[in-house]
Amino acid sequence: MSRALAAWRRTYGASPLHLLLHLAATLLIAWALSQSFDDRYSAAYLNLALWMVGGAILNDFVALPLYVGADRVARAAWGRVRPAPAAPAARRPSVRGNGHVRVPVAMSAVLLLVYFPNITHKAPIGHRLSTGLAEQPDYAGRWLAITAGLLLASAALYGLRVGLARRRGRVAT
Amino acid sequence: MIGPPPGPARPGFWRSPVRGPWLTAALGMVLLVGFPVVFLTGLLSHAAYMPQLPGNAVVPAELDLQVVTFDWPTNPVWLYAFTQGLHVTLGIVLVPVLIAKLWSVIPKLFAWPPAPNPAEVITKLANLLLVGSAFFQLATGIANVQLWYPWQFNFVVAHYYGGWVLIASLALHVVIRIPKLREARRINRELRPLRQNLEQTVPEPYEPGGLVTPNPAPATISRRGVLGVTGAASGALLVTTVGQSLGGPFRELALLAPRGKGFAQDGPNGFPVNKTAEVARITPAMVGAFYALELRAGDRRLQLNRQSLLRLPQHTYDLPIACVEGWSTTQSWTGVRLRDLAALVDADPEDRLYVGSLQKAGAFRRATLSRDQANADESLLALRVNGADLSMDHGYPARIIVPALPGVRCTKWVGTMEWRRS
Repeated sequence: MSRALAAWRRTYGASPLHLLLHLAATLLIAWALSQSFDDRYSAAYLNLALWMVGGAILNDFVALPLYVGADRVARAAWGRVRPAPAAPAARRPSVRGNGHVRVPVAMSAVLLLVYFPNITHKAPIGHRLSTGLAEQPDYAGRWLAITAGLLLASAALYGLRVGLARRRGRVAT
Repeated sequence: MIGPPPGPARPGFWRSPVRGPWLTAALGMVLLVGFPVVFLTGLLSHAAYMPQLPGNAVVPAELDLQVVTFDWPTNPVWLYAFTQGLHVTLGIVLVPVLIAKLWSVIPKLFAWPPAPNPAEVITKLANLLLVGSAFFQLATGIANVQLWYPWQFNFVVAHYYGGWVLIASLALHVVIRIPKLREARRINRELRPLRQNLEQTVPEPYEPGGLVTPNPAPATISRRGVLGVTGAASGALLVTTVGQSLGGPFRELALLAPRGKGFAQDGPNGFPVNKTAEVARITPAMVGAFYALELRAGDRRLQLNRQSLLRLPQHTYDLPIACVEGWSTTQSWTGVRLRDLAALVDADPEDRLYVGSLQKAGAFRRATLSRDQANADESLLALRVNGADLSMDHGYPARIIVPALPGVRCTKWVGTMEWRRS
């Protein structure tokens, strides 16, 4: 490696190609942004800018700590309700319950996230005028029913697995 | 050098043993295929509106980067239903994958020191644009299909150019990360994570500054488990959404989609409406006994009432009508061929067709059809649907149905049709 290149790497932190690629992409991005920020169509610069970065910030600093925290709290609470048996395997056959909570809750949560406007009736007038329906379908009721169904199905499956594991345990001893 | 403050910047703070190049690459590959497909189908939708024809532009014509324009075909008839259904459904289904991918790389966000050199600062800014524009495109698109506009900018303009920001940021990200992808593929061969259950799940080799934790907690989920939860979440969205595009029995399952289960009326006209007569301010008087369609070509004029239209040769075709919001529905339309109407006023078959609605104000009350669209066999001025008269909300007395044309361009309550060269 030439000395100049080594010096560049030391100060910049990556190869010159890294900078060139970023400059090239920046040109296209700046071109696109200059069009979406054209003041004939988007006079509210701040509003558009907030929307452009808002999702990233909400996800990383609000949503992620919330769902990671909820998962941890739930597991800690379950650990208190049913502490791990002192003599494992022999008495209580272990079937992991994590997935039986995480899967239905994750499914229900993304349905709520994506269909939040429908579920919370965010556009009742627009909806009536567009669809001709006298009133918006009861999306909240449907979402609750789907959530209940998922939780029940998951609980039933868990019960089935525990039952099977117990029987297998009894056969073994 | 000063060490990181207590909290998420400390290397041992993030403890999941499944975080590492393999999981990130697996989720990244899904997005790497998914987002470009959503981008391309978005560009196709822009082309399907044929902004190059007078009066058709939805993204204002004076704005740049409208590079993909061509004569949108009329064949196959389900073309727009497919591309736009794919655009909307795939975008929705990618939401959990994006969230999972960002969970897998969260330690990077807090890497210490935050700005070790210019390259790292530039990379972080580029990542902010990438993640920001990905959420922007998903959030604005998803709110739009639910008719909710909680912002102060023009949706079409912002969503179109947001797509360019996303695709440019994604291309840059992939080029920069190619070495990491290669490494993940190498590890994949050794790890075989898809065959590992919870007990077999151990962290990948630790590297300072990487994704793998130096302080792993006991695994509570396997790598294939993370993919499974993500897939289940995407599957839930798919099942409750895709029926609005597929139709038939699947529509019953589209419980949360905006145009899934439930219509304004039963019977032959029982399929989704995008714009009611009420919102278009079409009154019964406007379409009653005094209704007449005016045909124009050059200085020739012809007025036809609904009775005269019904006496012309009628043709019936099963054609989908597909909305930019992703839903579509195939119905059996009956009416007069557009090219038969052209012949009545001796219009030049090379001309474009300018269609005007009785609707006096509001968007999409005029449409310009290309020569091919005006002359296709299945291109109809529909008078009836499924054997019954069109309902007011579906465009009575007459509406345009052109194969593969975006739904809002299939003008309802047609008042004028003019064949002109430019």
